[in-house]
Amino acid sequence: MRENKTVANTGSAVLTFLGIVIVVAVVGVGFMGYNIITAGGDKLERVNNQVASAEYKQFEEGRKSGDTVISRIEDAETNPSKLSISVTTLRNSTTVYGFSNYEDDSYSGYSEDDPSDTDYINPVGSFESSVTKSNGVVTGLVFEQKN
Amino acid sequence: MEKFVALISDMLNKSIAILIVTAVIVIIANLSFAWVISSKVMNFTERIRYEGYLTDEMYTNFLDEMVFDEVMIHITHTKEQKSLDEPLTIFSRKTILDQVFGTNHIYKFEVGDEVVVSVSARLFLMDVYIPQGGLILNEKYH
Repeated sequence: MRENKTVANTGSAVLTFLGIVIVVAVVGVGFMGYNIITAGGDKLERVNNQVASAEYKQFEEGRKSGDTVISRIEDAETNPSKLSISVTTLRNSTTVYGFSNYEDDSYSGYSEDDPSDTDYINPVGSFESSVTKSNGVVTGLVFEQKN
Repeated sequence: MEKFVALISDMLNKSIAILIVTAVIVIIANLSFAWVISSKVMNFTERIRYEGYLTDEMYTNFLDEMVFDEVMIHITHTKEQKSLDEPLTIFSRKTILDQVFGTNHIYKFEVGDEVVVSVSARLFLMDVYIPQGGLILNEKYH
């Protein structure tokens, strides 16, 4: 009699366990499907925007080298994040660089090795940096050459 | 009737228990995913720090490990400021990867420079952001 009861308990334990496994599987697949349907790409984008904002924190003030400016322009030109890089050289020439310029055929760009060019960016020059924001989101970096 | 009520309440109890177990399993799965990804990012960053360079092989191996639907990788290299009036030099991802996949297949850092690798990825049910980095300790490319 007692043995029979143990057998029955084991059976129901197995059944409960199976039930849990099946429910977990169904709920899991359901969640996966939900993820695929909503495909919340905008959410990851939001995280990335926050990450980017944190990255631009170091551009809010201080002197940056010309190498930094050139590296930022290269990044902005190939990254469709719509970030604009405004550079004012010692010759008082202000040029805005960005992703849209890259696709523009008439765009000549900056110069890294011709000091007589008004858009010459001296790699070892010193640039005062600041950021422009729109509704709290960084939309551009501004560099003004000091020496 | 009483038996029926007891049966229903038993079922309710069981389904609530099952839901809780499911939630715990999902959370544990996500956390273990996050742990795996952060340890891979850490291995990658530590190797750069101890060897002082980044090669195309190291980078593609790292990309192979990031087996998630959506993943974004940022690398920044900040040069050591030798004096306070020296302007800060920060190299961004494009500049680094251009050299890694260029003719030399290598990007070199200098001792004292700072490297930061940050990965944001979409896991099973959540988004994670993993920043890793530190100072360069060696220049083993000599």
